[in-house]
Amino acid sequence: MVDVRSSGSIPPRWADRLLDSFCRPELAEEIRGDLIEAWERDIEERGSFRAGMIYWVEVILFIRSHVIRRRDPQHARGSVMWKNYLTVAVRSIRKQKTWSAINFLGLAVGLACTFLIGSFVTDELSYDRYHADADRIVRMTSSPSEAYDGIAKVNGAWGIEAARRFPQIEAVTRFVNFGTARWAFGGRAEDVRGGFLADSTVFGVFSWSVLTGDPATALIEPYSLVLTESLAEAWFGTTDARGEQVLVDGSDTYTVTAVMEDVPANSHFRFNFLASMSSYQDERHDDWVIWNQYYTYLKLRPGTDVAALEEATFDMLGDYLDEDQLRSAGAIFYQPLGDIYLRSNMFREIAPMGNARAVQVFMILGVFILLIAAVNFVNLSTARSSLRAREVGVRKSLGARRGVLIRQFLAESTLTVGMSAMLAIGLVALYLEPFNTIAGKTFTFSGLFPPRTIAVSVAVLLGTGLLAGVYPALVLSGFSPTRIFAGAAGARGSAGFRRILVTTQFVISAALIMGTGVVADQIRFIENRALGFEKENVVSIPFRDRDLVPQFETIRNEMAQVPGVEAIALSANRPGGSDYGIPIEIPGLTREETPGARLLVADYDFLDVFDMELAAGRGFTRERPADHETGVLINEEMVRQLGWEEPIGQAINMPGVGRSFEVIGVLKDFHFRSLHEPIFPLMLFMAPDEWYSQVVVRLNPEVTQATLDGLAAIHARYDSVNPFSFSFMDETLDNLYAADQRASDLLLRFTLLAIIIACLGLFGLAAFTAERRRAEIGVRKVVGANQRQVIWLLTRETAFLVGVSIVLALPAVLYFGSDWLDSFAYSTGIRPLTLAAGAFLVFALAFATSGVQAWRAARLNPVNAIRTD
Amino acid sequence: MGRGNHIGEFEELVLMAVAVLGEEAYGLGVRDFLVEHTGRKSALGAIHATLYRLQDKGLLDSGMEGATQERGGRRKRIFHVTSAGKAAVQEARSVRERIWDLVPSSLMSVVGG
Repeated sequence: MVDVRSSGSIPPRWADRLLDSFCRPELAEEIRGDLIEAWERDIEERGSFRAGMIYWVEVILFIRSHVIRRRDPQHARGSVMWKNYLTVAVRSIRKQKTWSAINFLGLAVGLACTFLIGSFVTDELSYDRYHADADRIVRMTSSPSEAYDGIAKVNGAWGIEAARRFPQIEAVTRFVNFGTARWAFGGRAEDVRGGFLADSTVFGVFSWSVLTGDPATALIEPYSLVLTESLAEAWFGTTDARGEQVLVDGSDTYTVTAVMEDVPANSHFRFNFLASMSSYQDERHDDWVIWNQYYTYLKLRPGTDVAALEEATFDMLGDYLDEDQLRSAGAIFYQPLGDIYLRSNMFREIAPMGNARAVQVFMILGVFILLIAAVNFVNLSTARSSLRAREVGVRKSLGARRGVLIRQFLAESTLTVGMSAMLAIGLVALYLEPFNTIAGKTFTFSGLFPPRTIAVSVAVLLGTGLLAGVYPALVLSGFSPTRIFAGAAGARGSAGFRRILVTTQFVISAALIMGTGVVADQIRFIENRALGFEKENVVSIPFRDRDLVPQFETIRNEMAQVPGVEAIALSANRPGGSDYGIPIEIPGLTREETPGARLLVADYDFLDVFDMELAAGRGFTRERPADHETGVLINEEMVRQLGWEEPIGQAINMPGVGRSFEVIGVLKDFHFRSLHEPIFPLMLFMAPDEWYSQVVVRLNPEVTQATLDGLAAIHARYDSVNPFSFSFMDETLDNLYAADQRASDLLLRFTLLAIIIACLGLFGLAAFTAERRRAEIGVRKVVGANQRQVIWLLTRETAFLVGVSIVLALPAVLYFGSDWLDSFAYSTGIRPLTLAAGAFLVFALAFATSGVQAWRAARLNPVNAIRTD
Repeated sequence: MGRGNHIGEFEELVLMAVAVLGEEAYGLGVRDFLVEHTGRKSALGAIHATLYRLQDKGLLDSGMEGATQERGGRRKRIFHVTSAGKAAVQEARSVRERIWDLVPSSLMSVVGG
């Protein structure tokens, strides 16, 4: 047998502690002895780890009625006392119905808000972390122009060559937008979008699970297709759709090789199918310079020095690009996968991203709301103390020790918190749908409670119950019985503390109200700001069949005949949408002196469609065929940056696509994208037919369904494959602010709730003050005080505290408010009027809540008040 | 048959193990015996609980024995079968044999294989 000391190990200590906690002391020696003897044997036979595990299991299996400690008399009394605590708790809750209701409601609303906010924040923070090697996956991006933070996609060859060259890169996979395509299968045809072309290595980088088919080979062959579960179900009614074929855009037949799980909602981009990159017909996919269409993800080996790899990758580009091209590539950044969703704000993002600042704001908001609710609880409980002082006195006289009283009050607070928690769960269930709508989430009630959330929630609840209960318990149990019966009792000592708590609440409420005002101002400003073009009544119609572009003049003429149509243009992109990143050259200027420009590609009547105005020169005209090849319009910002005195007639070259332009007009500045971005230099020109992708149409303000039907009929006559669809420009543009709008909506609602909770607390507190000072008020009235004086007597303290709160809240609002506004290139600034209105609102609310109680107290017949004492 | 004397199947096995083991009749010893003779490996907790239960019923008594080196210096509780315990085993055995005799011989041969 092995000597314990010589083997140098001891049995799991925590298992021993567990054993001690339940085992009858007189049995401990023999049981521990048996356990150790068996464990020593297990170490020899199975090694120390297994032996330790077995030890644990054996200890747990000792939890049996003949082994666990009997309740000694001390414990028996404890259990009776707990029952008594509960009875008293229920009684006191019932006796004080209004206060209990305030307590319950305030806490329940607070907990429900905190829970929803917590779920939101947790979800936002969980993006992409589910991949097995999430911490080793990065996205390759570059910063080719001063105009952007960076571009989210790169050229096709970059990632492939980097992976070939650098051993630190374990795998690489690229995604290219598949775009909208017409799928046909079994007599059925539909537009399917939201897919990507992907390299066959995709499942080696990301850990999405493949349900049927071989992840390693599924995307190797050209025209292979991996469907997500729900798309496979929708098209083939099965998750094993292998071998099924679809005809895409009437020309290519793709074969399903695998079906994968749906991409989880907490992914920074999602898709419903992947097609093999080898089916990509574009010849430019090994291009080093122009065709930067590849979202490129790399899996790095553990311990890779990312900064060094970024530099090495940039040096690698030097082998393939000339000096100018290299300079325009800027630099290479490897973004960690986990940071993309909340921190990446690049140009041409793969999907709309979240906002780290909003997540921070909501985290703070959640903590604040919980704090306000807990403060209410503490305030109301201590305030109530004077009413329960007698109870405490009697209990103490009868021999209750302080510990017993503390337990009593803790039992009450825990019970209240527990009941509020149940109410809160009900509230969450009730308001989950509206919350989802506003927050843009798809939470389900059952999905909201994974074990971790339950654990955290229980911890938060117990913490709140204890924190909120401990202070009242300590204060109340500390009363001296003699003082209580001498009439000196009361919460006098805790009044100062209570004032601090109330002030805290109002600081938070005031900050929230004023902060919401600032946000609302900015949102309204964005909605009303003149963008420099007319976004109302413009529809965009996807124009997919590019073979029709040569006939477009005919189609345009037909469409122009439809009543209600005012102007028509073909375009490749449009305000609010994407643009092209093609480098330009200007004779006489070096690369550094040449500003980066956004490109807008559209034909003749585009200016009329958007009501854009010219500052100088002229627009495109059919009378001058050269316009089609060489005409370009630039905006005022570009003229300013170039410092051109006479812009008309200047030359701009675009060697990447072999074009040379002559400036024919200057556009007045307009906001191409959201107001988060400043106005950039911009060029508007006409392009080869295959660039065009949509028809934009200005409609008469009295737009009718008949107009749209008329356009649809013409569309159908020329294009029998693609169905007619359209979107209104103003809606598309409003989407640019969807995240802001959503954050502001949520902020507004939760602020409102926070304020309601704070007011509930104030209401209860005011009721308490009024009750305690009833006799005083009675005497004052008898002596001749009028109602107004009495009301002022009761509300002046609140007024003072609210005043202090506003002064304390202001710096925070100014600081965080201007920080947020700085994220917009154009903002209203913080308006003093908004702050004043917020402050007034806080005052008004505080007065309204405490005033009701004061008014009631002031109206009381003094005779009744005095007689009670 | 008094209620206190009724014992279950596992209790009977443990009781008999104690009778066989003599001075080695402590928790782990009983388990090793049962593993060897029945192939059943019970949790130590189950063995101990059964031993204590049998002691409560008056079928076993016990005493602590001197410490040895190998159990971290801890003593063992050695169990002994009391006369009531012997009677209970006897009773259980005779009940079983009475019922056994009632099983038809044809079925017995099938069961016997």
